[in-house]
Amino acid sequence: MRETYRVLPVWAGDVSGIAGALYEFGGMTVIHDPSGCSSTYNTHDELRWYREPSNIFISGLNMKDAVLGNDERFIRDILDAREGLPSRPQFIALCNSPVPWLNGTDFEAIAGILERKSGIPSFYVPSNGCHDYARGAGLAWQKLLQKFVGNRKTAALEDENRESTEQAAEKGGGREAESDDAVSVNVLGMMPLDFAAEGSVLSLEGLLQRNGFRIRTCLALGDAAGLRCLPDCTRADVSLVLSKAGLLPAMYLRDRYHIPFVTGVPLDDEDDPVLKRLGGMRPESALGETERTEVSRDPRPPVIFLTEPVLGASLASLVRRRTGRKTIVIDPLEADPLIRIPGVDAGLFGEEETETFLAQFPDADLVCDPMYDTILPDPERTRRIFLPTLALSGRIYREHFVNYFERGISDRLLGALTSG
Amino acid sequence: MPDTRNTPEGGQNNIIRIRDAKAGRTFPWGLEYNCPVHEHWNIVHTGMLIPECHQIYICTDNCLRGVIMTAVEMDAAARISSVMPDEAEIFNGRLEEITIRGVSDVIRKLPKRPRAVQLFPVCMHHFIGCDMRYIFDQVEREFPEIDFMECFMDPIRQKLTTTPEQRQRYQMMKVLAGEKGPEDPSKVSILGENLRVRDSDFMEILQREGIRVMQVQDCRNYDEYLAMGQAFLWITKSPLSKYGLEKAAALAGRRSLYLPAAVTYEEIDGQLRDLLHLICEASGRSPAEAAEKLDTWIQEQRALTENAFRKAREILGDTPIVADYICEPRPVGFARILLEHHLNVVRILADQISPEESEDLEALRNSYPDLELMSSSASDSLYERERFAARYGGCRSEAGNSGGAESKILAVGPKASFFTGSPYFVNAIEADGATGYMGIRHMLHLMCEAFREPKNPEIVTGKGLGLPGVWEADGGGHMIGRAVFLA
Repeated sequence: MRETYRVLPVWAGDVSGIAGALYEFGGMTVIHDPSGCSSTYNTHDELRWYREPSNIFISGLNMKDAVLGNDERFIRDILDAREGLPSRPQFIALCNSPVPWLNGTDFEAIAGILERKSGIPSFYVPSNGCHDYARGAGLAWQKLLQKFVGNRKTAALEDENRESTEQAAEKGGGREAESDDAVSVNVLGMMPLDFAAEGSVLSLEGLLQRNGFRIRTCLALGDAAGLRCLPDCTRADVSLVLSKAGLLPAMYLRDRYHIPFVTGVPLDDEDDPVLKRLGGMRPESALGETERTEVSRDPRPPVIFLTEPVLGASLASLVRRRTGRKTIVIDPLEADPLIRIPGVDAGLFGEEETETFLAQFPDADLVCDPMYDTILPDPERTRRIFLPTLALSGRIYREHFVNYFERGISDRLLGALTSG
Repeated sequence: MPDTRNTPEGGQNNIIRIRDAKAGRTFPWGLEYNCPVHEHWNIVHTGMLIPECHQIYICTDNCLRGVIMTAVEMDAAARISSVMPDEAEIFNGRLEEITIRGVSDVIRKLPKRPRAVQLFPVCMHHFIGCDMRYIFDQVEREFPEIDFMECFMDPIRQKLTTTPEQRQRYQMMKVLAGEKGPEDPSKVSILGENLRVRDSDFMEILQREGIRVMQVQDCRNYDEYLAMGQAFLWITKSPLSKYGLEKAAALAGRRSLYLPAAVTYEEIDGQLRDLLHLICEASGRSPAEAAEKLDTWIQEQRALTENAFRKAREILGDTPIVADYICEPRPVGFARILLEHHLNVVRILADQISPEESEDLEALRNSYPDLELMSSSASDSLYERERFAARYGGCRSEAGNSGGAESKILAVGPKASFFTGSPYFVNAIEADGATGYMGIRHMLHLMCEAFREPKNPEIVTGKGLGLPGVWEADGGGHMIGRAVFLA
């Protein structure tokens, strides 16, 4: 039964994705929920909470207010809490767990009321606790772009962009002023749920710079310029989608501002296809397409990548290119008909499907989060290369989070696949 | 609602003076902040106390993840399962069906059939009007050999009625009523306690009277747990367990005794006399002789406790003390007894004051009206660490920072440490399982120890203090052989 999980944890939920995506933009995120969502999020899905808190609150919804539809209290509580913050939040974002979804709470209307009463831009990120973090984060970034970029007219936007870039350069808090011929890139889908290793942003920045690129905007980790420089993203040459969560904002920027995007995690490898395609700005180029045109005749068992799918497809591409081995890329996140991830072979949802699938390949090498060990029929028979991800195993393996952008990562992966 | 305008910083919704505080809903409801302190136990931790018992949660992604990861972090992933209905199944009225089928599917897939299952439907089951009786009846019919405990994870109800913790504890005790066997006057069971009871007066009294004390922490299997029902007297000291204890004991026809964490000497003495009375009643002995012995023992304990206070004062001096409700289940009473012994409590952390503490509250209002009471969950508490540091200076919470002597704050409890940033803290929950005169002395000892030796404040982010954790197993000790981490 696909709904049951005997032992495997579920991936982080949409509410965690939303809160994590908006964390560093200086807003106020309110989760309409009785209790659990906030605790789950800040305990298992968020590493920044102790040292760098963000304005993330929960409504503490009770049964009486849920049944009677007491939205007035929800609105009043948000406005009261805003008064207690040391500085005015840049925005108010709303999201929710199942009960407010079931009782049909009109969040769009509530956001409108909040915006009118507070003068603070407010928006709702559609959610209900039934989806995964990638969808939540993607929608959150899409909403953020719609709110702070999408409503502006082009000329005004150009002026603002110029101004914000100049201001950022003066204050040293933003991305570098344009002074070179580097291709400018929007980095989309960068968040700790997928890229939790310390130093990931700096390594990515270095990797891109060494290859002639410059980050214009980063959604949404470590961008010191934050919301102020967000409109600048419309001037990028290309978007780089690092994770499934980055696809919705990428599609939005493509459809509205004609910015092409490339999907994949660039790796420190001289033939890295993501970096090549990024340079060529080939829109929506399918990672791994070239390698897949020929059926691999390699006699060795396949390498199965059971990770965040964009990462999995990127790593699989590397392995195919450098070793010639067969690879299978599995997307363990929920299917979305609007989203196609190049290089992904199949989507497997839930424990039962995944367990059945893996049982067919007892000799395969498996690249996955350590949690998948619990459903392997004979773990010791399988070579496993563990890539712990915050979105699945949480903080348990935080000492082992991988910085995928650092030098030598490709060789380390290939070495692990051939060792022992 | 209390007047929050006269708070130290003015206008904050998270701090009031004790003179303005009242029991019950002490702070107004509003948006809530969830601080990164997670050492207190939750329903998953508590449920794991019963051997051979499996937990099953039926919920959507976000909440489900929290409970599963709780179990994973305590290296008990094999003892918890879940059912995650999708959006359409919830909306189209299939939640009952998916719940029943899912629970059955999980049980059939388990490598070994559990003796008991704690079943946790959630908020949405109530909200869409699921027939819970039907659900429980169906699974009980399918698996008659299993004891099903009808628990809930429904925080949507917790502000207006009993909490999930209270109802879970009742269910955990209710199974004892089913197969309890004959009453045994030589045994007492301590029920509804997360931590093993230790350093406690009533344990000492029971031991002196030759009574065998049974605790769930000693049970190696489900049969041993069920055998706890034989005890003639069921005791709890947890406020969260009182509801369950009284209901379950009535069902079983057993005596029950609620011994909350007493802090004033008179209250402690009263509790011990009640206990002795019940022991004598069960054994048919005259209480007069036993009472005389008890009075002598009480006098000794009082003297020892006063001496411990004297020593603590010598060590702690005027050091400001902040105490939280995670460490001390009776934070107001605890602050009272410390203040009455001239220790410098400056703030209590408690999201609400229990009506059980009304007398202590009144005493503090009269004698220490300016004492601060802080809510850890009010939205303003998000920035309380910065405010506290600005006010008291220097006592920041960077890992390893030992703090300056001039800014030394003694934090009693993990939340007190977090909000003060103090590395000098008692890292304990639920009074460390101790109570009574011995409990007071145990806490004073921990306070003096904490005052001397700083700790890394970030340890408070760990879940379920005192439980085994996967971290101790070197990042998952079960993963060996052909597995490698890339980093």
